Amino acid sequence: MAELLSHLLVVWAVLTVASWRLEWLTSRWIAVGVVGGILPDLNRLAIAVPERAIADFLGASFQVDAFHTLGGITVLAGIGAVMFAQNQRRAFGLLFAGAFVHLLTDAVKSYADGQAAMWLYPLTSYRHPTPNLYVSADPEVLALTFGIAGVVFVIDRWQNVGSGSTASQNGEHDT
Amino acid sequence: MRRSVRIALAFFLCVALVGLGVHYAESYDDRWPYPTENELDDDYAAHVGEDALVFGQVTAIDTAAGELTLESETDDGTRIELVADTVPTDGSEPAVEEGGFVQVYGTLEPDGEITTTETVVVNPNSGAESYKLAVSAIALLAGMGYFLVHWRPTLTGWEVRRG
Repeated sequence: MAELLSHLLVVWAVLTVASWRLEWLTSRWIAVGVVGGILPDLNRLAIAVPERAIADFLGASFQVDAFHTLGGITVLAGIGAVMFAQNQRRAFGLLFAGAFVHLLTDAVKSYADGQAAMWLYPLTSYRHPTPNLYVSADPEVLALTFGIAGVVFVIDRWQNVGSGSTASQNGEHDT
Repeated sequence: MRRSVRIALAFFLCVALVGLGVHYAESYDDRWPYPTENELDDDYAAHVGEDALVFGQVTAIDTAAGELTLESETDDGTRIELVADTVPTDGSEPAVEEGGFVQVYGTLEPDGEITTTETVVVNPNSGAESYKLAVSAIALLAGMGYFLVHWRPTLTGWEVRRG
């Protein structure tokens, strides 16, 4: 996976562009999507809590890499969504969307055999071809995502000024 | 949605998450198309001649012999040592240092050797992992901060922060 900051910048940029068309997609819901972008990297919990310790506790093998899959983000987004007092369906949708963008970004990184990770688990173990665009430690990835997010930020400001509205920032249209 | 329903759903989903992690681990060796580190540790000789994609930390580089030694870890923490017959280069220098992390795709040979088809340098040195963790920690704080600007925790769950 790329470092988390690149993922969150991409998620923010994608959802901000989407908000230009979707009036209900206010900055507060974009923030929910950004948190969704964190979900797949919860597999990094293994740094703090070794998988072997979890496995010993459960009495069965356990891998937190399951979180970094389609099935993992679906369940995690569900857990996150029920923690909202209202609008749980919308919260689920945004959490899932943020996490899905994260997985899509990881789907094009480099693998020595030219095939991506089994991120479509549990639907399939298929590893699709990857264009090998980057490795996670590339500082250029962060620079590129900062550039993309910066361009989106400027256009977003320009649109708000041009329309004479700050609704999307204030969440006035939120339901 | 009623709070009792949400609590029940949260419990059910947490159980599902644990089940997913267990199934993922238990079925991994069957789903992965190459011999896994666990299988190589159990019976390396049985897989000689097969293609493999291994992930490991670089422990030694011998540019004269063109050999890259890496250590992979099994699920139970056992480390297995493998020697790839190619050192990836960046110009005339090795593209990875000891402590770096690589993926090696190739054919398994006797005595833990690999005839390399392709190598991907994931971390060129041990500092690269620290860089990723530091940037990720900043992202985690920034992402949660952005969220908390708009939402506040209450006894009934996350609610929109007004004013």
